[in-house]
Amino acid sequence: MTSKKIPVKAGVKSRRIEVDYLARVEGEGALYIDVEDGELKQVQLKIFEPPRFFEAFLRGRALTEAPDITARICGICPVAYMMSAVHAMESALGVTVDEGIRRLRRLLYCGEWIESHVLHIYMLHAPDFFGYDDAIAMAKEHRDAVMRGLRMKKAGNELVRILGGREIHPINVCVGGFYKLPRREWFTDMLDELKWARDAAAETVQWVAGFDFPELERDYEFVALRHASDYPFSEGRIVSSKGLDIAMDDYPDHFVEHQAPYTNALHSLRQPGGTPYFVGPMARYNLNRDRLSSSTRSLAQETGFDRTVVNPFHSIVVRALEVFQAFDEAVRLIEEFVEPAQAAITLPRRAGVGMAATEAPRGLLFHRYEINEEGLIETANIVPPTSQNQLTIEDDLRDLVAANLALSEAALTARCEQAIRNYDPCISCATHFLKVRIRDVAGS
Amino acid sequence: MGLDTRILGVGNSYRGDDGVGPWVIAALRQRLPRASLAVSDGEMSNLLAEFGGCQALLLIDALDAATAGVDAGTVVRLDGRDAKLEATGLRASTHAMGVAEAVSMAKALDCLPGDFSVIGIAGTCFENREGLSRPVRDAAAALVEELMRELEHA
Repeated sequence: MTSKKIPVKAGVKSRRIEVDYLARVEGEGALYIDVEDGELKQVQLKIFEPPRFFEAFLRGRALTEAPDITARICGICPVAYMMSAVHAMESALGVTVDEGIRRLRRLLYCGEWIESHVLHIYMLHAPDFFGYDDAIAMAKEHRDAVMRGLRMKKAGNELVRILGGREIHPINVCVGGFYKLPRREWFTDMLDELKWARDAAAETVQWVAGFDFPELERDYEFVALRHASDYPFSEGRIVSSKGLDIAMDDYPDHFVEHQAPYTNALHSLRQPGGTPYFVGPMARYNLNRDRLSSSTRSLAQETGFDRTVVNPFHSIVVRALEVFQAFDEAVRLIEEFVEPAQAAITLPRRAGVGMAATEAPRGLLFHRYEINEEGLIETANIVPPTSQNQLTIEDDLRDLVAANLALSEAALTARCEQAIRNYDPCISCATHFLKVRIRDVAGS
Repeated sequence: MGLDTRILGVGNSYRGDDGVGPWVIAALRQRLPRASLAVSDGEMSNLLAEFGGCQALLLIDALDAATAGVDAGTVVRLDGRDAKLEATGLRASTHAMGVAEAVSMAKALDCLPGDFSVIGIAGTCFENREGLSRPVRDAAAALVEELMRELEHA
């Protein structure tokens, strides 16, 4: 592992950097940076994807519909939306699933982390570290690596397909369990492929740990779930690197959403103080390294990453370690398969308020519902990871631009886009084209 | 085209005309159960796995009629190796990395089948619903007959 030294800024004219359409992120966003007389004036990460009103059209729908409706928010992380919804509804109804269902949910989440993380590592983020325009250009010179990534992703797809019924927007998850239980042999048939993929994930960690990383370190507040024994997916308390330690039901007392005029996504802030915070793989990793499997810890030690990670450009390594962890846990869950007592528990009918946070690939995903006595949703509130990270991304860009004003426009723009992709922002579903315009704004 | 040609229908049957590829495969499957037939949702890693497993491949997918500049129901045959697929309006995937990107990636990885062709059927109705629009359904039915003739005389 080496670090790239960035030239110190020289005298720099005024300019504006505009990335009108961010590529290799999930959805529609733009970046505007204004520099005047050598001084950074403004950084805005603008999400112009239209508001989608999911919380409004959940009102009046049956609580049992929430997992399938909210899954449509994202084609990359539908399982996360389903998991937050089912846990919130089960909390409102005061029910708990058995160990067999719990394990199948963890297995499903493993599949989604693999799908999402491998896509991001190989197709979206790795090209930045080599200076390629996209993964197709990278594939010509890194064929073996790309072939490895594609096969790993397919293994993740298969886990989600078997358990969820299909790879994108699964249809087999319900409040209380699953509509249909899988058979043990459906998974055991793919054990050899999962073990190959676990080895491939170890090679991925070694590969990305050898990249050159730009320097960037700030004083973040990392926020993630923490479970009593397991690396967090859907259970535990919400903790932070600055001492927060709360039950999920206390989330609204400690976090608040804020409307900024230039973006369609709400910003989320810590309360009190209104400060930005950081969710996602690095937050999970820094707050839960002692919950990783021994194999993942060994791999982290071998690559020099068994430590608190504070440079967001290292997130690609943490993501790769989480892919290894997910394959490792998937193999274990299949080998120790526990047959659930029933596909789904019977749900009582009662009014209530339910909240749950789970760990989507990109970080904490919070759901809150009020349910009436007919089992209908009265109100819904959903706080996705990208809105929680949006201000932190902007703060990263401020520091990054201020330290790199001597770079050419092209190099600085590329560096800023790479920094945004550190967070794998999920604005809705992926785009793959880019129009960049950079122009001087001195005196204008 | 012979019975050893793999025919792959790409699309989403719950998105109107986007389901024309799987519709053609379902029709062929009833009449040619021994043929090598498959469907795909168009996700890149799944498509590449299909590309790697055969010597001859015919991919059937929906086109966006407006992007392609043709009427609904128009059937376009393309040489998959040479065609500028992105310009044709192929719209197989609900994901960003779909057929066009998968073909570009397969070329970069040198794993595109030696004999690879694409049939695009132009549609206009891609909303969330099941079933094909009338012009697309008629074109798909005619294509099935044409493919049957080609396969029977191979």
